[in-house]
Amino acid sequence: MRSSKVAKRYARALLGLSNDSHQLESWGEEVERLARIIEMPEVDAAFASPEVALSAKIQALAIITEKADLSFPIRSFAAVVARHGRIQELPAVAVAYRSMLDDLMGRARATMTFAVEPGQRDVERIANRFEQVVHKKIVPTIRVDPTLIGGVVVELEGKTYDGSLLNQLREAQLRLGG
Amino acid sequence: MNSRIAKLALGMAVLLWPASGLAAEAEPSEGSWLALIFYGINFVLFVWILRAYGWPRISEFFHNRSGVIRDNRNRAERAFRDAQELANRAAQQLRQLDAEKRAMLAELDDETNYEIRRIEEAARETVDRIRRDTQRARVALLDGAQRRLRQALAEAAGGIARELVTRNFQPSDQARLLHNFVEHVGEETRQ
Repeated sequence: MRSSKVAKRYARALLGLSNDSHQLESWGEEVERLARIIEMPEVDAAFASPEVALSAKIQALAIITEKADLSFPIRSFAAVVARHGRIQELPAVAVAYRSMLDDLMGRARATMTFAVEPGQRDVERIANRFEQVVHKKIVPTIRVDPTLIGGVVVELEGKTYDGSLLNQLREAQLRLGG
Repeated sequence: MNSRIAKLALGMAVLLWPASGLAAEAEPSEGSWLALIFYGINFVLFVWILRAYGWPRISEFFHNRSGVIRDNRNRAERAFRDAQELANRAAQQLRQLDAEKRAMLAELDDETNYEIRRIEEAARETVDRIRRDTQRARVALLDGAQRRLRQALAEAAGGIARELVTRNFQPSDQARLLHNFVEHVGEETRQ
């Protein structure tokens, strides 16, 4: 809970800076890229280890940001976060930043899980329908899960809209079982 | 002291008593006034001695004796009265004990009857409860068995349905499912 609050505070600060610099999307992508690197198990283990000195962690993070070809403001932001001993909060910062940016841009992210590979038209049709539901632009993330047999499952703003055949069969089974 | 004087007086009386006998054994003779006077004086002396020394002792002896006897009698009477009183008291106590015994027996009978009724009532309640519990358990077991059977059937049916649907699933089915899904979400939006 505390880390989440901290992450939100960092994300809000970064959002203010990126808004001033008109780099909302690019900086967000860079932070997400950095978060993905930090979430890699071997990197995460090194940053979480108490045997590694903070100065070494700061130095390592600087090298990572440089190798990842991140912009100077993001490298500086990462250095500030590292100096405060919050390197492991960076993934949470990226999530919070994305959420705040989505709110700012009036868009919502939806995870659409299809039973079979969907066509572009199907994705657009579903996204359009959900835009009418939440009155936001939908940014879809597509996944495929053959165990659904058919249909689609959409996760949007903490809600799950299950239109899969697997769910229908399960409901029918439950009704039959009493 | 008194008893010794009384014994002396009695001894003298016995010694002097045969005088008249001896006089009778003598040959009949002419009466002698002198002898008569002598015997009269003797007799008077005898009476006087007896009166002077023997009588008070005898009287005192008999008086004391009568006192002792009276005391004994009084004590015996008192003891008798006490004994009678004790006997009466004992009889009364016996009667009381008897009454108490009867009362206790009656109470015990009442208590026993009450306990018997209570135990009977408890046993009846226990039997009723066991019967109710058994009935509930029977219903629950039956429901559980039916539910398990329904679930087993539903699982089997679900498995078969899943297999059939998977085997016969067509791209047109996917399009229809997506269409229905979108329509369903649209309905929710309108509501």
